[in-house]
Amino acid sequence: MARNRAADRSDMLPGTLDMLILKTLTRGPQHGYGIAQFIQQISDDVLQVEEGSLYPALQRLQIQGWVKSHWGTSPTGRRARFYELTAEGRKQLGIEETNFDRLIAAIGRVMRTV
Amino acid sequence: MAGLGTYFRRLFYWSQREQRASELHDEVAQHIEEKTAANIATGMPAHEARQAAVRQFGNSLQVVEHSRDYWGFAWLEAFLHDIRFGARLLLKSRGFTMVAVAALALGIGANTAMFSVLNTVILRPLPFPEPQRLAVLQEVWKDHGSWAVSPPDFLDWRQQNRSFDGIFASNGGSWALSGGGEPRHVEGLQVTPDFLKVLGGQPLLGRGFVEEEGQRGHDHVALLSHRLWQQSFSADPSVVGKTLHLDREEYVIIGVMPADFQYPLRGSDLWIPLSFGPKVYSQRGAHWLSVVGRVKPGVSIAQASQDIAGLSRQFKQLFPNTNGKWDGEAIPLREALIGDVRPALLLLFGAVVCVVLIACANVANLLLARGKLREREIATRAALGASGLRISRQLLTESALLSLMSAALGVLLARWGLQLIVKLGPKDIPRLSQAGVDGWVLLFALCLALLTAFVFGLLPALRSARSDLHDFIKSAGRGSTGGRETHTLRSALVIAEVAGSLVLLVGAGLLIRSFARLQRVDPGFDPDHVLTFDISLPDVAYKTSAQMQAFWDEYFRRLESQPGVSSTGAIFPLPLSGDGFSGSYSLGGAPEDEESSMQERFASADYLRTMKIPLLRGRWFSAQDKLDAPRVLVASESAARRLWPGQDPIGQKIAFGARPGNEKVEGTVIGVVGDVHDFGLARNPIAVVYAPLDQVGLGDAWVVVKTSLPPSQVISGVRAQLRAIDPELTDAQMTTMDAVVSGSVSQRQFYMLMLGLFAGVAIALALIGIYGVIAYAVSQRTQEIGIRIALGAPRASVLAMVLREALGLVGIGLGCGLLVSLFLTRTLESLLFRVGQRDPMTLALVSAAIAVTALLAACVPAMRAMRVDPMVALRYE
Repeated sequence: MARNRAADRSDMLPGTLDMLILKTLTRGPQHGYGIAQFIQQISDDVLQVEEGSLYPALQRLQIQGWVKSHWGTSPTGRRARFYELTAEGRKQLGIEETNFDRLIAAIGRVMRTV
Repeated sequence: MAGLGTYFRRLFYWSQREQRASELHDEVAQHIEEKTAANIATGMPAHEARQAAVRQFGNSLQVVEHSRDYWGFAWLEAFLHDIRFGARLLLKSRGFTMVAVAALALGIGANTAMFSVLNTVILRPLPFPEPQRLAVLQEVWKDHGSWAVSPPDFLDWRQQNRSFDGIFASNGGSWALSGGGEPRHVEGLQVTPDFLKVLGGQPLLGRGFVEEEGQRGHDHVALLSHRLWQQSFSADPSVVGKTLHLDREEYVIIGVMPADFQYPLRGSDLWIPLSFGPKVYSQRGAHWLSVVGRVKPGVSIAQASQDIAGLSRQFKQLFPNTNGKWDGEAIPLREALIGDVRPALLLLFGAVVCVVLIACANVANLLLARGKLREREIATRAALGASGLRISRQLLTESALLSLMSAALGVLLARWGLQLIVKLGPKDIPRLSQAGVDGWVLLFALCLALLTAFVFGLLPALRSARSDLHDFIKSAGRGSTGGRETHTLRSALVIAEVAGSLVLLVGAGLLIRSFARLQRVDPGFDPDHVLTFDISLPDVAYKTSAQMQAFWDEYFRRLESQPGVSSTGAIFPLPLSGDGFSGSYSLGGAPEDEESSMQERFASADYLRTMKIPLLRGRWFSAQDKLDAPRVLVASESAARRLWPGQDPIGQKIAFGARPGNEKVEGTVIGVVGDVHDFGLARNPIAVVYAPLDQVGLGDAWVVVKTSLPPSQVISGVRAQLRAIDPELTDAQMTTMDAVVSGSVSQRQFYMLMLGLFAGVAIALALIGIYGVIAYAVSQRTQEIGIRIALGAPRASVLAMVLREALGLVGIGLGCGLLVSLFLTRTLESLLFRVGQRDPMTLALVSAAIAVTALLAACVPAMRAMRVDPMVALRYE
């Protein structure tokens, strides 16, 4: 029985969750619920992120130094932890975006052959 | 991607993990609240809203768990947990832990101690700069071993060689020191002036010798050792320029050497210049110098040796009578100092490696047995998701814990052992006294501990990790195929233990027999109840031979009047003291420059009687052989055979050089005496010619006193008589001939005792191993035994069955061991004395001893098997 990592269980290509979170945070600091809402709404409900899997991903991003956090109050008045992008995080986002584009293009090339 | 910051953050988060975990819980709770509120806002009823929110979120508990994964290092946490668990487990099963720790501590401790000895004596570089360029130059007479160098040969070598930056000669000496603190006896070295330049030492205070101090008249200067400076001069910083007296002659102190400078390795109190007299070139046959040189950079010692050999070949042609039999050579200084002891020490190290392997086998056995008991625990772990690797890691961590505990105890044992070795060990193993537990030794112990943990832990860990959950559920907990496989493994380990201990015991047995044979060798004299000590008459007060003769006569007269003294005598040098004295001689009638060299001894008239050396022909020296009387000599048996084969030696004439630098004097042979083992009981006696002490005028000799009382009770009387003649004289190295004889074999005795000790430990461990395996086998077959007895088998047959199994194991072990020992005993060659490498009696005795003790060890569980109650056994699950 192998241990299942949170990342493995999301329905996306591994690693894209990190990228989506980083991208979301370019719009400014956000709390966990807000990030989940944003990804869902903007992707037109295609990307159904299992909201729980966000939190381990956020821990990972914090450990890597790409995201930092502080306590604050949410728009609805509740106490929540807000995450924001660091300078390294911005840099990392650029790298991941480039890699992702390259990957998609490659898949596309394969799929478009007759 | 993972930078340094990542590691720090991981550690930081880990240190705050509890707080963070609770914060995360809050965050998750808030998230779900928000989602619920949003759901309600879209019109969902309250409880449905919450359910939907929770479902959407996923498993909140696992979220926190997975988040925690990123805090700290998983492997580190697992490791710490394994250590805690392992420690608890070891504390619980105290019996197992004690036996395992005892076995390992003995093995690791013995290894650590031997490593310390090996490191100090052999591995540590010599305390000189670029020690690999230092070589000993020696002259070798093939049949008689390598001997010292004669002064003319040394001087010619120094002048004519092309390979050395410099060479120096030395000769040991001892003197009475006065003028610095208490008068005392010092052991020192006479050295030619370039001594420090060759060795490469720098004085701490003052300076070394200069060239002109190597000449007569300028040579009364002294270089102090650090030890002497502290002990006799209170580390006086202005000691340079002060004077001291050696044998009542004045010497000026020119310097002090630092504490870490040691030459020779056993230590020297001081160094004074060695000077040669004007007639030095007439003494080509007198070999008494030790010579050491430093080769030029880029020149190998082999090349230098050839250079020296070439020069010696020239000497052979130029001086065929003195140098005809002598070859020259150079060997690395390190070789000369430790070459003799290295094989033996390596052998002992090999033996302890064997011992630790046997200890590992024992512990592995114990672990395998315990493995059965832990099957349930391990199967549960596997069911909960632990991988085979994880389980193995945990078991290996427990093994490492066991090992490290044992190593700590082992290091303590090693420390005590080394203290004993340093105190009681042979004095002629260089630097042995410096062995102790230092940084390197601790590092070795640590590495050994980890290595042994791997060796004994790997097999049981692998076996346990493979345990299948299904197997466990199916089986009743015992009697499964796993049990049989374990039993085979354990039996194999025990066989290996028996084989290993046989090899060690055979080695020890051979050494013991050799030593026993050596002790039975007749040294040629009777050492019982003989006190001996060295007296050195200072030149200043005893200049003439007449003065010396007067002293000896008076001293012997006084000694013989002492109560408890049966007879006295004097000899130079003392047999079995390691010293020799060779001089050049020419046979009667031969021309002046026809010389050879032979060992000489100077003895008093009563010496023969005191030492009970047999007189074979003619007569020994007597009162009439005084200074002015005709010169007489006595030859030993081998000397007579060598010089006058087939003839009657009595009446033959031979001219001997009495002392280096003196002229040769011709004497007549008046008797032949029995041979004495001068250079060791294991070596054949050497040809020796005796000259009377009185006719030679010798001021330095060993007095031998035969006592009717125990020798120690006579010491004070002997000293008192000495002081009565001359209050400033002291004796040196007071000891008994028995001690001298046993001292000469102390090295062999040391090796024998050490190997015996290791073999003893090994066999004890093997016996424990046999007991364990047989006991286990009996417990496995309890049901079967119960059935047998219930069906009417006599109890004795059960005993026989168990003993047969034990005998089988031991038999195979002995067989393998005998095979191995047949190969390995050649390593003992240099230590054996009149005992064959494959001595059948030793092999048989040792095998029988092991077989008998093994059977006895197996008897205990066998008796238990005999007493099995079939009713209980059949019900036993």
